[in-house]
Amino acid sequence: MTDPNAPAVHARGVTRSYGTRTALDAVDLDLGPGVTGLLGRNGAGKTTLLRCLATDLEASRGELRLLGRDPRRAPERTEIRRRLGYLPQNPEFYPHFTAFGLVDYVAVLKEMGGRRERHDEVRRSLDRVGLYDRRHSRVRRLSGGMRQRLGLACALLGDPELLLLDEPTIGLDPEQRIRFRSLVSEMATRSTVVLSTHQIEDVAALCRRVVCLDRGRVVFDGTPGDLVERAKGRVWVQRERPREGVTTWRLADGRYRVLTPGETGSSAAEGGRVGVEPTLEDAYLLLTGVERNAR
Amino acid sequence: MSRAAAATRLTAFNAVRLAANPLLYLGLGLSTTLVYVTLGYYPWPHALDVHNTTETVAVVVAATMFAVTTFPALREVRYSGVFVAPLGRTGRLLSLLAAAALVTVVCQAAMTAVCHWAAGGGLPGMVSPYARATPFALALVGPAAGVAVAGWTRSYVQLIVPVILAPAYYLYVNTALVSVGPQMVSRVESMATRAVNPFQVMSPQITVLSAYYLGYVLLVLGVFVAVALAARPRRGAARGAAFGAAAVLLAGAVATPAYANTTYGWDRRFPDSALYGGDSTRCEVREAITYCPLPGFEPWVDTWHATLSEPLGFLPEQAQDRFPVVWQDGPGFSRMLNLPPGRGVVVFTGASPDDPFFRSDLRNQAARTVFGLHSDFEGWCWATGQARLPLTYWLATVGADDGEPDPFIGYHLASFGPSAADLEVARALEETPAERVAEVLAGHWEELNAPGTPTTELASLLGLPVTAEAAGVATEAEWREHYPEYVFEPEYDLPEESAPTCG
Repeated sequence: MTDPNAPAVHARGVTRSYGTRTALDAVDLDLGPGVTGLLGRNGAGKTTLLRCLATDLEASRGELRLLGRDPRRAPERTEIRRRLGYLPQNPEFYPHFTAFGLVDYVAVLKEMGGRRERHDEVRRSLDRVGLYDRRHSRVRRLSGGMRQRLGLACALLGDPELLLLDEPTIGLDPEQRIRFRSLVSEMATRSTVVLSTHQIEDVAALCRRVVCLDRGRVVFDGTPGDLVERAKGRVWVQRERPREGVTTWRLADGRYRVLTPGETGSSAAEGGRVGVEPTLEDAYLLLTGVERNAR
Repeated sequence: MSRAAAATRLTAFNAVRLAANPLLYLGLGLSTTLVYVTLGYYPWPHALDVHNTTETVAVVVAATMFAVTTFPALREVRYSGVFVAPLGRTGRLLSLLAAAALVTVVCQAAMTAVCHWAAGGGLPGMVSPYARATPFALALVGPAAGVAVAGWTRSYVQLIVPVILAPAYYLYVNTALVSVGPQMVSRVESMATRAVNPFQVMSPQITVLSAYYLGYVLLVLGVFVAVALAARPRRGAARGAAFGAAAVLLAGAVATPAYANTTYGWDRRFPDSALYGGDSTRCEVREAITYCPLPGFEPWVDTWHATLSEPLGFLPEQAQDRFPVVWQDGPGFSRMLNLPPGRGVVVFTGASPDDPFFRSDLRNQAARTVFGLHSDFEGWCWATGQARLPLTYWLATVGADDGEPDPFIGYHLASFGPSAADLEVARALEETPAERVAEVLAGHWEELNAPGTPTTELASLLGLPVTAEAAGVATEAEWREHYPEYVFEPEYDLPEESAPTCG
């Protein structure tokens, strides 16, 4: 049965294993309209989670409902796919298609009816990602960034209710990233968008919710502000190279930025440290790098 | 929109892209050339020639569609997986197969139309409905194989390898290498030919064999479709089912020709009831000459009769019980007919009655039948000095209006070992009014038709002088004297010494 008030994504104990390796471990999530950022180190399970949400992979265990439907049941899975946009990580496209031909092909796969309506939608989608002028170019002649935008155009077809984007800003120049953010923000007013990325700035700019994964588990689920709050009192700037065992990097002015798990302002005087306001990136690094070690 | 509608749209999308591939038009151009070259070998084509050409062209269409379909097939197996859509990967593959089938059927229909147009309308002969469908099934094997092979290789190797091997093959068959090279190429050729048609006996006229052949091609087609579906990146029951289906279909494809070859081997003779349209075929008698054409070849009877009616019209009424039964044997199979002994005159579908050579052959066969001389198929005999030998020659040539005398007629005469007197009388009969010969035949039919009546007696009855030697076989010098237009070669022309005297 379809519940119109159900969250777009409802996951309880969702587990996905590849042989003996567990890529997703008992994930619980409820996602609704707006942009949710999915953060995590390489191999944390972000892509596996997105593929499960995209109905490209079936969960090994647990309950998953997407747009109020059960993806394990073929008719419901088809219905979910009708309402879904998915940009996979590093997509490879058939090189002999033109940009228009590729998006048109995907539009046919998405059951878009009527040749004229379909072509209008294809043109609109290409225009949204700034590729309308290159619509007659073969895919093989497009740059990496353009191919990435082409994939985005495919995902945006038909204004999906659930938009899943796996590393969508790889290869985009700053101008294109700004355009991408604007596009995703606009989509998020009426859709549920899940954005998996390593670009913390994109998350900071777009997401009102962040989910961090580590070794297949959800280690944080909250707002970017909550995540930043957890880092307060743990971020410093100092002149001397810090001791081993902390996360640090050298800044342009020659000082060191130091992330210290478990330490607070009480040791601020040590080594001429000066406490600074943490960024989302600081918070993410503390969460995935330092807190994991402390567990 | 329903999934069926989406699949239809994807089929149309794929069909348009397949139709836009330049390789398709290259293949169709090659096919059209092949049609004209092949039909050029048949000055008087009939329905069976056109059908054979259509089947040959179907193989070219299949090869073309194999290449054309490889591109979208690779698109599906290598690149389509990134798109999660209501129309799943199996549906996409099936849509591609449907689109390829659609384009293939249109191309094959066009080539069939070209074949018929090039051959002209109103062709004699009949082809069973199963045989009409077979070229389409043959052509469809190409794209199915293209999708199946691409699914497993996931590369263009199946297109690249033939492009590399084709020049090597050309060099092999067109250079001295052919005499010293390995036998592998001829074996591969033989296997390929047998794979396309593994039946010992095959004719588009024989309903049951046409059905077997169509069944075989459809089973092969099914094997490729199943293999194509099994190549999809999926595991479990569906792949197992696809492999199972492929195995069953393959077993059927092997068993079908094996069974047919056991049941319908080389020595099998087929009654008219086994031929398409044969139920309504009847032998037709015109002026005591019986004609038994194959189904659909009835229009040829007019020309056969026009060829035979005039010479046989010079024969007396009592000769009519020896008039020939002209029957047509099948191409690629033996026809079963109850013929009266010694009266059968066989003609083949390749022997058009419009061809002067075959008209001459028909008159020869008919003349030998009337005068009781063995046909080529019953073995040769010696008729040296027998009156019926020059009479046979006379009957084979009287009334012929094909212009110059057929030099081949000398071969027929030489085959019975004529004496010099036989040659002299045969030549003299050309100058004798046919009515005079007919008059003598009417008065002495039984006598002149008897093996024991010498040529000298015939000459005496006609009042022809005989100066040449009546005993013994004519020498090369005597042949040059009487038949300078024919190069007599005793070692090839004469019957074997052990051959009997014609009785």
